Amino acid sequence: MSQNKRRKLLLIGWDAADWKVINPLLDAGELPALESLINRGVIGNLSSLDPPYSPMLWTTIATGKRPDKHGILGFTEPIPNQVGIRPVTCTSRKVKAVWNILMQEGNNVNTVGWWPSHPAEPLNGICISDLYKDSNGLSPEKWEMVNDAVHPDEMADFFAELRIHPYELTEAHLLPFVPEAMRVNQEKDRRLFQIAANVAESSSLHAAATWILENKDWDFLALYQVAIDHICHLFMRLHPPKMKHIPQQQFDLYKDVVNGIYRYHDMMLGRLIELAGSEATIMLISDHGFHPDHLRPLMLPDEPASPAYQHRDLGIFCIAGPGIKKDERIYGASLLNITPTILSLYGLPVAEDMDGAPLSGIFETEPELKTIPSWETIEGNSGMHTGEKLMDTFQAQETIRQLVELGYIEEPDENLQKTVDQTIRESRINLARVYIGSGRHHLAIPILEEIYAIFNDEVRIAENLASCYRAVGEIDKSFDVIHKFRQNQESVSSIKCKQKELQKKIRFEKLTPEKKHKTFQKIKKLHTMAANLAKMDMLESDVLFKSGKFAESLSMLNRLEESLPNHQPLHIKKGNTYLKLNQPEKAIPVFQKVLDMNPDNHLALHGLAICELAAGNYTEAAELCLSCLGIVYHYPIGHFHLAIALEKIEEYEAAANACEVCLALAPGFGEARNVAIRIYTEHLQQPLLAEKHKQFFCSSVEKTDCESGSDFSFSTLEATKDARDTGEETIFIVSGLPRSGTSMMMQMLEAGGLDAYTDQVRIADENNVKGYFEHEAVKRLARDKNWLKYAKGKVVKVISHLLTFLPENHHYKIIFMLRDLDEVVASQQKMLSRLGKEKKSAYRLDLRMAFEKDLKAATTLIGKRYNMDVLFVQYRDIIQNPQSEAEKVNNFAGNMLVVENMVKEVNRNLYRERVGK
Amino acid sequence: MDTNISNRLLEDLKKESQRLTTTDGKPLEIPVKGSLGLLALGAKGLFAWREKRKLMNPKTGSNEPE
Repeated sequence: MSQNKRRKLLLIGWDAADWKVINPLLDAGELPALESLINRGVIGNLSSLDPPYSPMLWTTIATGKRPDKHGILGFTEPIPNQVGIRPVTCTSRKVKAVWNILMQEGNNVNTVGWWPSHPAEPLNGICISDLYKDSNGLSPEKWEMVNDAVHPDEMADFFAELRIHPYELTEAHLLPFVPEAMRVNQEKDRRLFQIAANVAESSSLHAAATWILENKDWDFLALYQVAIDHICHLFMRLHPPKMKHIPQQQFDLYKDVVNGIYRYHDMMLGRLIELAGSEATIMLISDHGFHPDHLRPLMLPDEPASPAYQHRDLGIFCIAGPGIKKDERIYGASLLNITPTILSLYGLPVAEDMDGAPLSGIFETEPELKTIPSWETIEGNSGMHTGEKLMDTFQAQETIRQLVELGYIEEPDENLQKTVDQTIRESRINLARVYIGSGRHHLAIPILEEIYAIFNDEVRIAENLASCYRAVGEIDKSFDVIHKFRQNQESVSSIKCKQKELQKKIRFEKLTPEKKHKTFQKIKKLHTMAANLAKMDMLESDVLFKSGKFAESLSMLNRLEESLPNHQPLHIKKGNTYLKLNQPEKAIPVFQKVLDMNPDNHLALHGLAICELAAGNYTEAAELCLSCLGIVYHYPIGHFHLAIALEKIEEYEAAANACEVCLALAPGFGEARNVAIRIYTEHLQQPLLAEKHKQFFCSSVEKTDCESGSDFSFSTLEATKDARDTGEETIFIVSGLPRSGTSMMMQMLEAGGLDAYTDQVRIADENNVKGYFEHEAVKRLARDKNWLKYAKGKVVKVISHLLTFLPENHHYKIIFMLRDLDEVVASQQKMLSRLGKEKKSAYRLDLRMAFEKDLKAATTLIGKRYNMDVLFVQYRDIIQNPQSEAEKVNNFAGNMLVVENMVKEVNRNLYRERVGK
Repeated sequence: MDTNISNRLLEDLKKESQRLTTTDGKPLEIPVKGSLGLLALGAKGLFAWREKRKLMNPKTGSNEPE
């Protein structure tokens, strides 16, 4: 694109749009507009975030920030200075949306229907709020538009006329969705009206958007359509293939509604593309997908916002326009990338306080990445609401409460207050889920603990809290929550007994319809109770698994299998546990059983691939990986194992490609990066590519522990910030055998200015008079690696035996202490003697041999891992020549230490067990 | 609220909606019952349909025969 042409971007949001529905329609030629866009642009999946609630997600899309930063935390919010709630408004958004930034930078910006965008923001173009389209059950004659739905105000009457009331539609609009609509008894069945309402609402927004495109000088227009999501919630259970419990007549009547709404959106898309013109860039996205297949849930849990369980965690991404690659795919995109990508399109810097980075792979010529600390502090008219409209709604609620307590106002109505309290509570839970979804479990814990103290019978609270404890390594607390939850519930046998009695009642007794309905409700409640207990059992098996108690985890799963014989996730966990127990021969029939139930279960195919890898059947393993990835491509661990299998059969180019795809999807997957470096270095002789990956270990990209396929989380992998070479990301390790001078080196490094990661639990004694510089967390490194992220930029002592457990997703600089083994053995013996733990039978030669083996294993490991740099330091050299050794260490650490201070810490008098003394 | 601007914009839109043509330049035939295709044309398609209804049923503008 030439520099003098202004960038025009039409950003279109289709809530819940999913490639799984779109692809068959594309194949049938039924979405021509989208097909043309795909053919001249870049497409991909867009990873969603948890919780998958649209107002939170669309605000993340529009700001590039997670909800804890942008402030939208649910569907509703308390009304400031009143007791009551209202749909969430954009006044609760604490940060600038991309259109505010673009306006500030001189572009003409417009938004239509974005969720949430009410009251309409004073943009320099037109802003149509999300409440603009709603008919709210009013008749067409009484259908007034809500205040503040349109900016500028003088155009409100005009835009009000562009709205379409559902009653205005005719059979010509509805028959494409329900060809036999005349068979519907609308007295009893309101679904035709619901279709009409969605068509009318989306057409209202579309009419407003088309008018802006045709009549205004625009640089940016964001249009959001919710109808696909609403229609999917209403009709996806009636979408083909027919679900077993759906009556045939209902299926026949409504089976084409979901496809119908996509076709209509494609028609609207065609018009928008035409009006935007060939110079415009079109970006089409969705915030999440929607299960259209065997993954559709049969029943939704009894909890707020439970329809979100129907959402799939991958939305759609499609972009086409000047300067954008053609007919390409992009991998690893997430909602957090959208705003940074838009800023890059306009040549603007991305803010460092945003949580995502631009999708540089979409551009024909990769733009230079410019950054600024934040857009929030850049002054200028951004079109955001001014101070008087901005208020902290939760704080306002607190003000009311305080006024009540002080007697200034009357106690609000109990039910209303309850509603407000529930809204606030849900927002808090959502905030906790945001923290969990971004790997910040420690921030979620206090929120959940507070709620759990009152609502400890709610399975979702207990489940999240127990999971958080597990994630931060508080295994005992995790078990405690699980056990307490179980104690407060009826036993499974009692629930089953009651269920049987009620089922008998329905079968053999003559019940009135009312009584029958009540009995069904009771059965449903019992079913939920049993399901909750099963959830906690599954969680307990996870906690056992995470704490390395694989056999106990397996026993738990075996017990659960009795009541859930066809539960696929249970069998997958079981198979994975067998793999951890190194029993692939037992895992095979388990994964096979899952495939008998569902041939498309990618996890089972992947499990079998691992079994084949273990058996040395690499070609079979590669084939199974390919089958798995043919079903779910967005599965980094599958690409990783494909790479391993291909490397074994000497298909090095293909193995490197598999690694690259894996790392595009999961940049923090250190193990895969090490394999990539190995392939480029040892097999393909591509040192530059190897170096690129090595550099990545030093970058600030969010790194997730991905060693277990079954526990692999996608939601925490969105961060794709470009590599920034900063020592702050490196973890310094002092390692070696115990008594080889590790504490002295820790002491030197700390004196030199490097923060030591210690907890002071083990205090100084006669054996280490200046302290041990240890941290208790290191001892549990084998099962808990979460704490390592807090050790970035610091130095931590890890004995050589534990080095193997350092995850491959961080960069380490290891100062490895070497000391004459006889001295080490003597020093250890002396130490045990001082502690009164000396084993008189200990045979020094055996110990020496064990240490030799340990050292060899550690040095071999370091040699294989490209994320580890190492400096070997002889203890004796430090004692004899502290200045030059300290200088070497400083050089290795990046010349950031004060050598003089380091040298002062070397005390020759402590060199006690000297060989040949 | 400045209704003059809104009224003027409405009048303009009504006029423009009468000029809708097919791809080969012929005037677009507007069914009185409307269609998804007309709605997909956006503001102009909507107004073209409403004007057609008014023409067919001047009293009510309904899409049903009076």
